[in-house]
Amino acid sequence: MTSTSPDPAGVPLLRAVGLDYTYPAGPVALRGVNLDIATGRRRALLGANGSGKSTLLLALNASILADAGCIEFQGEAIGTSRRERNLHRRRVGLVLQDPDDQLFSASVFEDVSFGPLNLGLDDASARQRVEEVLDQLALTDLADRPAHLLSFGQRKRVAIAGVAAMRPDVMALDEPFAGLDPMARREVVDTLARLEASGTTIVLTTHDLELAYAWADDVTLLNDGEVLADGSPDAVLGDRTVCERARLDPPPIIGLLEAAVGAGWLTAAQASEVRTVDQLRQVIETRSSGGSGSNMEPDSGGALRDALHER
Amino acid sequence: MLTLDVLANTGRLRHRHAVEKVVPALVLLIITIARPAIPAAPLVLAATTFAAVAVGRIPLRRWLRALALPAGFIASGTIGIMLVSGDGPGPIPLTITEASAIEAGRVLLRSLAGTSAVVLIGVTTPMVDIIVLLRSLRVPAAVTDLMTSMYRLMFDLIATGRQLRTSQTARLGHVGLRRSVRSAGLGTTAVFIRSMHRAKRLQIGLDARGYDGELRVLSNERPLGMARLAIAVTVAIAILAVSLIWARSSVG
Ligand SMILES: Nc1ncnc2c1ncn2[C@@H]1O[C@H](COP(=O)(O)OP(=O)(O)O)[C@@H](O)[C@H]1O
Ligand SMILES: [Mg+2]
Repeated sequence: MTSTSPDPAGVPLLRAVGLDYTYPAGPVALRGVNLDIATGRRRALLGANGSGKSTLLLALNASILADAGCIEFQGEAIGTSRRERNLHRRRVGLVLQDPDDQLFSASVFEDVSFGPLNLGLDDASARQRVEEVLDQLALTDLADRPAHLLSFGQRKRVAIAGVAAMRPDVMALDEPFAGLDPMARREVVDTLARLEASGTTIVLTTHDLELAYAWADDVTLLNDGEVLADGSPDAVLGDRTVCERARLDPPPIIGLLEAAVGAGWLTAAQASEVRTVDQLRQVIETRSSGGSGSNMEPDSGGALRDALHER
Repeated sequence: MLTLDVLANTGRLRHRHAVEKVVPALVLLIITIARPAIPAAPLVLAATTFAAVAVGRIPLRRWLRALALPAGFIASGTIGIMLVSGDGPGPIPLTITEASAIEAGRVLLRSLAGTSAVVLIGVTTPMVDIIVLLRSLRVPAAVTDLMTSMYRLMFDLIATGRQLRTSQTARLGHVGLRRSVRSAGLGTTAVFIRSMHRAKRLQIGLDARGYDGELRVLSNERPLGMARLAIAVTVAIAILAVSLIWARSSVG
């Protein structure tokens, strides 16, 4: 989770500099947005509905052109020509929120082959690429299915596969967890982990702070098109006033951890390793079954670590 | 359409090469059109039913239901053939003669047999495979791309339309004819507007994957089973032979 980045100092993989954007005949969607995305670090863009998350993703992938400011990839600004933007889109893949906006083809296999063929791969290499990606994301069983006979969660994963097949350096996903039941959400989280394992850097939007807290290395909090806060999940989501200004409820886990530390159940250092309510429950269960009289003492070693690493 | 689609995509023959299913069915269709109704039509009907139910393992009831809708249209059409002008029992000067009844029966059988051959393709061959087949026959990309998008968007529209209708009904939008007509109009407009927005987002999604004006895709390859194809075509030709022999013996 706390991976350090291989990027050269001061040059992140992908960067937004002072982005302004107003929709034609619409509201201002981005106001002077700065953002750094480092190789291998999980970035979550957070904010209430209409705060500009989706618009920022579209700008990061050069699907829209900002009115002011620019996007840099490995330190180089992306030009506005069609050619440069297309080149940029090969390196920064975009997965739309609604898979039905993305899946156009009649079958899963065909749909996933679309991107690789557009990259200019010949049929044999494209076929191999599709088979690899379907295998990597555990979708091989669905290869023949038409999209309308898949569940919503399956369609989301197929939409992800369609972009992953282009092997971008960065994948930008709009609300990948929205509208999924817990099982399907775990499958998408797992899908993202598989992509990371093959070297893809992930940036996603979500309004699920609980999940963002557990998943992300870095978070950016947006409100009304502006960046309100940027930093570690603990620093950003632990700040109640900032969350309130963004019209979001801080995840309950933060309050629980504060209480656990306040009651002396955990040290601050131990608490910083706990990311989910589930993990906290396990820690508490381990402690109350393990040490009989010492329940109120901070655990100094093994039990907490064991509980965390069981997962 | 929806029933056919589900059957085609879940049936036992879905992984077979489209040619194995489309060619024999088309041969049967041609025989039905080219030969007299007796004995070809009943034989074709038997062959398509056998293929769907025994080979394709489609439950008989679902096969009959798939045929029922076109059969209804055909039956209503043949009423016109059955009735000829003359003094009937009622006030209208129409009657049924023996000849007209036989003629109507022939047309009915023949139409049913022809339809069953087309429905057989529908229940065994996924649309994807049909489009792939058309592409390999060098049908222009504009046509196959359009078919692809229509096929994909159709289900989307149907789903959206259904949800809208449910929500209208839940708010009593379909009580009485006047309100029904009004709600249906509003619903159609809403579906249309939504499709416009969807088309816009679809464009963003396609562009993000490098769309350049042609929907190039790879199909999942399926081996063509020559033996299976030969058996199916032989059955069709046997029906043709029976029909030819029948014609000769009834003349002679
Ligand atoms: N296609 C569009 N046309 C006009 N306005 C839009 C469009 N998409 C989004 N907006 C507006 O831009 C603002 C930011 O929207 P968006 O980026 O979609 O926010 P989020 O993804 O955080 O919900 C909102 O006020 C929204 O209404
Ligand atoms: Mg959004």
